[in-house]
Amino acid sequence: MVDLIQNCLDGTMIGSAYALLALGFTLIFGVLRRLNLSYGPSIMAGAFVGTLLFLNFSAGLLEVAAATVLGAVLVGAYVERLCFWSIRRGAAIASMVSSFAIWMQIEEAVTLVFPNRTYPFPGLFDEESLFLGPFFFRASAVVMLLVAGLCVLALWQLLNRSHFGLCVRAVSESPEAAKVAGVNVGRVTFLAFALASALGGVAGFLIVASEQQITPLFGLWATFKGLIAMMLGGMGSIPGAVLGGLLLGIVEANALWYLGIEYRDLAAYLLLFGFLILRPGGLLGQAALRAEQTAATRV
Amino acid sequence: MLEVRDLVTAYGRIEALKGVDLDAAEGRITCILGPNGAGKTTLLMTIAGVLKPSRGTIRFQERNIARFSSVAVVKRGISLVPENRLVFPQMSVRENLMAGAYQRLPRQRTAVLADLEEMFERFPRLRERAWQEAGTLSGGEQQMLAVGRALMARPKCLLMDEPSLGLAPLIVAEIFDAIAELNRSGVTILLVEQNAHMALTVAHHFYLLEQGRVTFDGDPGALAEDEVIQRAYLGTNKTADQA
Repeated sequence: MVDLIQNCLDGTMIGSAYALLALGFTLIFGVLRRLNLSYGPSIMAGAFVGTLLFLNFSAGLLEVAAATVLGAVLVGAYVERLCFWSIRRGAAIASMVSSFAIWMQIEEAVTLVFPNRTYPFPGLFDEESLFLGPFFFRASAVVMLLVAGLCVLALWQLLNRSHFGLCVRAVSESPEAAKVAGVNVGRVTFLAFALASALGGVAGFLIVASEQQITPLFGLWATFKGLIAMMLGGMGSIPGAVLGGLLLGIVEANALWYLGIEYRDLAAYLLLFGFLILRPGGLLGQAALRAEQTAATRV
Repeated sequence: MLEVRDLVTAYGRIEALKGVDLDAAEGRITCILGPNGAGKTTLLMTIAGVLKPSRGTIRFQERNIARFSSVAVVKRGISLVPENRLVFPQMSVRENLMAGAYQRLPRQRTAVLADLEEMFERFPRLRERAWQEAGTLSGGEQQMLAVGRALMARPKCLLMDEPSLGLAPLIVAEIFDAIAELNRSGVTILLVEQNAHMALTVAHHFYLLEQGRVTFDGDPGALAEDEVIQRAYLGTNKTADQA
C-alpha cells in the first residue's frame, strides 16, 4: 500500500510536467485543429539555448530558465510561420507532415551546433530528498509540481478572465464564427502558439533541470509524452490535458515499480491504445465534441 | 450606403457570383431572396470579407472595401449574423456577446459594458441565461444571441443570413419583430431569406438572386405582383412555404 501511494505521488509530480506539455499541445490543437509534431523539438532547442548560456557564460539558474522559455517561444514561432500560417486551414495533413520535416531540421541544426550527444544542464538542487512519514520526495520533483500547478492556475485565469483568453477560446470553438465576429484569427492563433511554446519551455526546463542533462532526443520524448497525455485527456480540452498528464505519470510510475523500467513506456502505449479503442475522445474530449455538434441542430 | 457592383466570387473555377449589382439603402431593410445554391451566402460572406472576390467593387460609405479582411470590414461598421447562427457553444451567453466586441476591447470597456446591458434589455431572455453555455440555448435564443453578438461591434450595417432557418413559426415572427425594431433604431439591414412571406412584412426593397445573378430588383409591391416570384416564393398552395 505504501508503495502504491509512493508511486502515485511520484507519478503526480512527473505527471504535472506531462500536463504542461499536454496543455501546450492542446492549446495549439484547439486554435488550429492541427497537430504540431515539432512541439517537442522546439522545446528541446530552447533547452539547448539554456545549456549554451550555462556552458559558455556560466549563467545562473533563472537566466537558463528564461533562455529556455524564450528559445522555445522563438523556435515555436518559426514552426508556426512555416507549418501553419503559410499552409491553409483545411490542409491538416500537409501541416502535420511539414511539422515533421521541421522536427528533423531542428534536430539536425541542434546536432550541428552540439555534436556530442549529451550535455550538462544545471540542476535545481543538489538532489535533496524530503521525508514525510513513510514517503519521500525529491526536492526537484516537488518544485516541478508547484511550478506546474502555478502555470496551470495562471493559464486557467488567463483563458477565463482575460479578453485574450476569451478570443483564444472563441477561435478554438469556431474559427469561422470568430472571423465573422471580427476577431483577428491569425494574430490570436500566433499568440496562442507562442503561449503554448512558453508553457512547453517551462515544462522542458523543469524536466531537463531535474535530469541535469540534455540530449537532442529530448524533442522526441517531449512530443511523445505531450501527445499521449493530450490524447488521454481529450484533444483540445484544458482540464483533460491536466488529467491526462497526471494519469500518464501515475501509470508510468506504477509500471516502473511493479514491472520494471522496460515496461514503463509499454504501459503508456497500452494505456493510449486502450483509450483509442474504448474512448477515442479521451477523458474529457467527447463532451466537447458533442456540444459542438448539438448546438447547430437545436431548434 | 452599400453599393455592390459587378461582383464575381469563385470557388476555384466555379463562379458562385457572376457579376452581382445590388444596393442597400441607408436606414432600410433590403432583402435578397433566392433558391438554395443561388449564391446568397457567398454574397454576404464576400461583403463580410471572409471570401475574396475575383472582380468587382463593394462600396461602403464611399470606400471600396472589396478586398478588406473580415477584421477590417467589422472595423468599418459591417457585421454578419452567419447562417446557422454559429454561436460559440461552450462559452457563456455573456462571453459570446463580449467576443463580438473584440475590436473595441480593452479600450472602450465602459461603453462595451453599457452595450452589453442594452443587449440584455433588447433580448431579456439572454439576460436570464447570461451565464449559461450558448450551446444549451434553444435555436431562437441562439439566433438572438448571434444578432446580439454582431451588434456588440456597433455596426452601421448588419448582414443577416437566413435568420429564420430551422426555427418554429412563432419564433420566426419574434425574430422578425426584433429585426424591424433594430432597423427603426437606425441600423441598415441586408437580409438573406427564403421565407418570402416573413420578409415581405419588414423589407423595403427586394432582390432575387438566381444562379449567381440578380434576376429581380424592386419594392415589395412589385415583388407581390411578379408572376414568377409569386409562383416560386409566395405560392398559392401550402407547399410553397417550404420554398
